[in-house]
Amino acid sequence: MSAVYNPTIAAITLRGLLGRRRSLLIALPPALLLALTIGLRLSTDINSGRDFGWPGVVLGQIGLVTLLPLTAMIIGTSVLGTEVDDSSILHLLATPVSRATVLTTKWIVASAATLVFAVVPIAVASFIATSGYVDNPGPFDTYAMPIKGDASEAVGVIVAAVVGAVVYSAFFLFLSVVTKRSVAVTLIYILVWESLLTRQVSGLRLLSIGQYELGLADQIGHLPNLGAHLTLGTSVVMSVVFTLFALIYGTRRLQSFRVSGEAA
Amino acid sequence: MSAETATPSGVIHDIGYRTYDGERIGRLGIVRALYWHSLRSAWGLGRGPKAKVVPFMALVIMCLPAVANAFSVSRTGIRAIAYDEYMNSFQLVLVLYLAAVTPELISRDIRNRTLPLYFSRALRRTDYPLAKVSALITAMLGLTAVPELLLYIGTIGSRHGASEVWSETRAFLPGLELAAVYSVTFAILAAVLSCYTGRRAFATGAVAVFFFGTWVVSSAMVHLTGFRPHYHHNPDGNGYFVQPHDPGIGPKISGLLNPANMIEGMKEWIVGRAPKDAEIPYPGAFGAVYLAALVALCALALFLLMRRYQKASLL
Repeated sequence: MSAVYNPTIAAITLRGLLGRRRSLLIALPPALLLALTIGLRLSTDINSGRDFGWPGVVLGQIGLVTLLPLTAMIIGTSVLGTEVDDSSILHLLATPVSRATVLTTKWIVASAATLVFAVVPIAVASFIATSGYVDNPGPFDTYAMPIKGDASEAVGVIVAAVVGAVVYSAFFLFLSVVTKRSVAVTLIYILVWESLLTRQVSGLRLLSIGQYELGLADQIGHLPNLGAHLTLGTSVVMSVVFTLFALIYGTRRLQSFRVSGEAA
Repeated sequence: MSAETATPSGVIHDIGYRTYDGERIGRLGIVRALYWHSLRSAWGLGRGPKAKVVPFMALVIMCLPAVANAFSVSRTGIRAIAYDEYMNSFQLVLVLYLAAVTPELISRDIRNRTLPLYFSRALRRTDYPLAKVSALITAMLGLTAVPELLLYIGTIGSRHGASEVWSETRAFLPGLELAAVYSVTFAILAAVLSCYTGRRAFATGAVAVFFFGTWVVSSAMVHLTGFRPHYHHNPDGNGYFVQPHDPGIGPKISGLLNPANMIEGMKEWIVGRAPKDAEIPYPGAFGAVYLAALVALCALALFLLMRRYQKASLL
């Protein structure tokens, strides 16, 4: 059995994740994104003079920075959090499987589920939104970069979404190891840290996963209106650092995991 | 078991139970107790320190701009944040608070199956959700009205003369009313969103995804459907920005997609103007639709909430 992936744990986790009506609930926001993209695509001519530059806003602000973290939150906190909640984590921890394997397996499952439920819809939406871009100078692109008119905009968004899914999953999994109330803490991160504080204090961009995604998408695809601020190098390095920190420190915390009763 | 006490006949073991023959507080008393208990637990009072973290963190974050404003006004005379933009700017904190607290109030009773205990008393089916929602609204008022009040106090501290204080008060009162509208709307919607599941985590997720998701989509749609300057391309490759004179119907409808934007549109309609950097364009006569939609949404949510507690399957 490999050291990073345990198929039995993966199967149990996946069953717990998708077993009930919950998976329908996760599938609802991506469907909304696709409907929005198709509607906008049909109703606007993106190569005309009256272009509003909407693909950047829809794919970046709605897809990458809102849909992806929320989906990753629902998935990332339920692969481990529900087991902590009903204390069935004890059975898992009592097995002779190394804690690192438990964590990485759950991380792989969470990443894969986020890929399916968030990244695939974003990928489809990005092709719908940007295919047929001929020459758009990007009216609100502060750098006024010419759009190359190939698939690179879509590729940029997709790469960013894949990276985002992996990093978000690692980080939210880490949060559900560290805290009892993982959903609340995750929400604090998404709502207060990424959406409220990062908007006001520009230095926090360096510690915000959403900004890494936007930086990646912008550097690869130059899609206007993304609102990206970080460079490619910073985004890649910080993504790797975030993931490694979450996995290594998460493993350490899982090794000394303490199960208490209902938190007072 | 002693023979001296008035032993009724036919009792095999008298282990000393006595029936309660004092005054019974009845339905109103139960509702009041339920309200008070819910209000306390909405702020984590009477519970452990962990339950107090999110509510009081939210309150501190909400109050920070008001405190910063007090310094700003006293030093430079410049107001940091307007009364009627406060709630909209920091609505994510309200969402965070509700997402953390509403499931505590509503989902826990479903999960722990304590509802039969409540309904076996002299409590009507509609009393329970009403008590919970009013407690939630009151708790939200603490989170919305206290920062407004701090903002007001911090500002009039640097104002001189009765007329200045009076004009400040006239600006403050609409802000307070707006805080009340936000509290009522958000509390009712959050309550109905979390009354369908006993799992706290799901209810938290539902509340957060609903408010945050619709807000992002609605705000983006307001901008994308025309309420922003767009770039006009010339054939020679140059171009210029065009500010749309009339935003059209698109942004106004997009504003209806989110409760906070709905409140903003209604506010602008009632006040009769929109600030330059408003999230929602001035709706004009369309404002009546905002008001109607808001009332209808709250009524529908209340109706669903009431109907939920009529269901026997809940027990």
